Amino acid sequence: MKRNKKEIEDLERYLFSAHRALEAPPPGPGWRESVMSDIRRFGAFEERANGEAAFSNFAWRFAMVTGVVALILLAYIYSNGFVDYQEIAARYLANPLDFII
Amino acid sequence: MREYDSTLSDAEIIERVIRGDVDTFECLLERHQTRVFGIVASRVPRRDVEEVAHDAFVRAYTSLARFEGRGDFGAWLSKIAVRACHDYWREIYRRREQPMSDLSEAQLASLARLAADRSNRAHGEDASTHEARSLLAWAMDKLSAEDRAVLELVHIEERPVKEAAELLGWSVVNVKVRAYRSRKKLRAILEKLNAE
Repeated sequence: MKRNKKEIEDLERYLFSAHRALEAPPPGPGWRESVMSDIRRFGAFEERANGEAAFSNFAWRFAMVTGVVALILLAYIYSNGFVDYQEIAARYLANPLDFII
Repeated sequence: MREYDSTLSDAEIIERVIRGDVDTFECLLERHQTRVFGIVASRVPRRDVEEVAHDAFVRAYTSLARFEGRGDFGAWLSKIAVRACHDYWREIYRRREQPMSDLSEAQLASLARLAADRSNRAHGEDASTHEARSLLAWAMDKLSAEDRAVLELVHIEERPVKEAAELLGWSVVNVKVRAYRSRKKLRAILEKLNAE
């Protein structure tokens, strides 16, 4: 038997109010110390900020070099054509006679 | 815990933390732990409340530079706590765990009938009943992490849509649509349960 709309709404309201009445448990005895110990492990803010900035600078410089190398390679491939040595080798092995003649 | 000047504002404490006095963060922990536990306890199973609250404070610490003392730290921390809970559920669903209810369908149906009888008599009078929470936990477990988050904020906690959108970092329209759909889905689950 299906409940009518009103019954479902009443049930839902009841469930929601039961959920609202739930009280938060207090933190356990060692909880705060455990959070602080994790935070101390991250290190002081300035030290961390300096470390992150140094890494970020390095990464960006490296990205620029990578970009330049990629452009040079593209230019080389564009001017000389792309040769797939692997495919040539596979064809040669599959039918060596075609390559000899 | 070390002593600190209780007249210091949150912004002043944050400034000290950013300048390198990490231990001062404990003041923020003490001031705001009740708020964070309140948010987390109503969203995740009791056994994981401490872990998620812990995660929220660590996230707050690592993002402190982005806060920079602007606005209300408590409200900013609430956002982090709500999102930590959302991420908790996303991770649970991703791993496909069975986190909430180990009740059988028959038990759930009888709980639904019991809860309905009570709600017909005088809903809200004995709202702290364990069975109602078990039933709601079971039903919410069938929703997605997104539906669960929006249902909690808009329908259970009755927060304005705009506030829910800010807490979740979603658009107001998205929250409105999700809120409507999630409630519809929840009602369908409750209807189906009783029809079986």
